[in-house]
Amino acid sequence: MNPRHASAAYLSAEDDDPHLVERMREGDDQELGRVYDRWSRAVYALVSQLLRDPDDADDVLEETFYQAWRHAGRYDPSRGAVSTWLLTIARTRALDRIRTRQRLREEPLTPGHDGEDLAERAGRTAVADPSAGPEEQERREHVLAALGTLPPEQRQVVELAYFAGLTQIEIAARTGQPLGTVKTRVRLAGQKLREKLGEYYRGREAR
Amino acid sequence: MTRPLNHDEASEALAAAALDALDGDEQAAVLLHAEACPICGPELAALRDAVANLAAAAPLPEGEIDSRLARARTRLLARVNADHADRPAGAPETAPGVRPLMIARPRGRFSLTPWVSLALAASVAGVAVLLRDRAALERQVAAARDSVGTLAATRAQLAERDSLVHRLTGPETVVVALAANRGPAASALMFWDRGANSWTMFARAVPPPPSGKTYQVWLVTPTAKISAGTFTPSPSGDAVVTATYPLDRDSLRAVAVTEEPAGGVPQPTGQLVMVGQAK
Ligand SMILES: [Zn+2]
Repeated sequence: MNPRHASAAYLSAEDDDPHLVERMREGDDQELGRVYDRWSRAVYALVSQLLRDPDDADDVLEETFYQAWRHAGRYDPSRGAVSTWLLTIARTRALDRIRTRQRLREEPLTPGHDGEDLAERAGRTAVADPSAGPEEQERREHVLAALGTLPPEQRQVVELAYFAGLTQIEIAARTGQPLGTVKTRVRLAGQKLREKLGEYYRGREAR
Repeated sequence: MTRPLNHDEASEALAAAALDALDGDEQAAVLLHAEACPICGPELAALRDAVANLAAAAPLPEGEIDSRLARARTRLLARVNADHADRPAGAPETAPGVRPLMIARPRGRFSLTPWVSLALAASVAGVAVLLRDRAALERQVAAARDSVGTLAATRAQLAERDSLVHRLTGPETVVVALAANRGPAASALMFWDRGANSWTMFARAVPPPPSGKTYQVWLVTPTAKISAGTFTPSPSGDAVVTATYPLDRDSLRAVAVTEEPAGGVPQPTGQLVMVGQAK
């Protein structure tokens, strides 16, 4: 059994997700395994990006799917894709962990996110990840393209908020920009992403 | 507590809320507004969907990913197997999860004939049903958190149940068991929450009143008989009567139900149907 094979197909089989979660809700562990095989790479990429620590990322990965299994009854297919639901759980857990870590160790806010070109890193890694399926690649390219259409100052606030888990106040402190400016950038970036990715999302669902 | 936000303030902050980039209080205030606002609610949901796509841009970290994923998978499935028995989401709705808390209490406080004990146990089961419903409602609240409209209704229902459970089980609550005046057919329990001045009566096995008549509930004190309302039982003989009436703690002597002309009367005139002495 080649685990790469199982995960490569995860996007093309997305239509089955609600049924998997339905059976998972009934306590079927095998379905949990299937949901995990389909989505663990995407979840792991996100929490690794947020946490910057492999052991923390492992914990949050496990915790995300454990929570999904326990609360499968809360998943409502009419509210969005299974991937959105899982990635939202994952991000919330990772943000909790980041904020606890900051309180416990009083460490500076997630160093290492400044001045990083996410698009460049993502592009490089995508090539290095042969197990990514064609639809996964397509989605990644589409999202990177959408980020690429944002003016650099708007892209920066989105990346600091989404991938580093910073609040607007923390972003203002980090970048030295006035809070009002940061708020305006977040708002404008949100509108543009909604236009670009909202359509993409609906387009995929309609297929 | 945070000040509630108006529409313009919340609308400005929706993108930040979708990114979880607000401080806790402000985040909560925006979500609260969006739950109730027909414009901000859908807008926030759409922004969240768009933002969730960003995850696809996260690069996989370098290193041996597959072995990490496989180890986490093993731990996950072991953990799930370990607490399979404890899983709340899949528990059947009818699970006997609630003990009848009050079943032993009234025995010493009321001298009950066996059939009244049975009626009481049945009503206690009713309270257990209410408590179980509360757990179900809590699950609904969690599931409906994002859903505008249903949430407000579910919350109101939950608050109503909470207040009922409190009225029935609070430390200030006195219970009076009513027995049928003739024959062991009808029975009722009156719960008087002396703190809230609220009265809640559950009646069972009450025959339909004769045509043109109704049942009327009376709070009997040494100086007066006070009407607590009229009722007509359901086809199965059940009825719930609620009233709010302040009464001195020690002045209740009995609770009675009489048969009266439809619409009720200021003072009891008709046949006594059920009665229970207050301690
Ligand atoms: Zn609004």
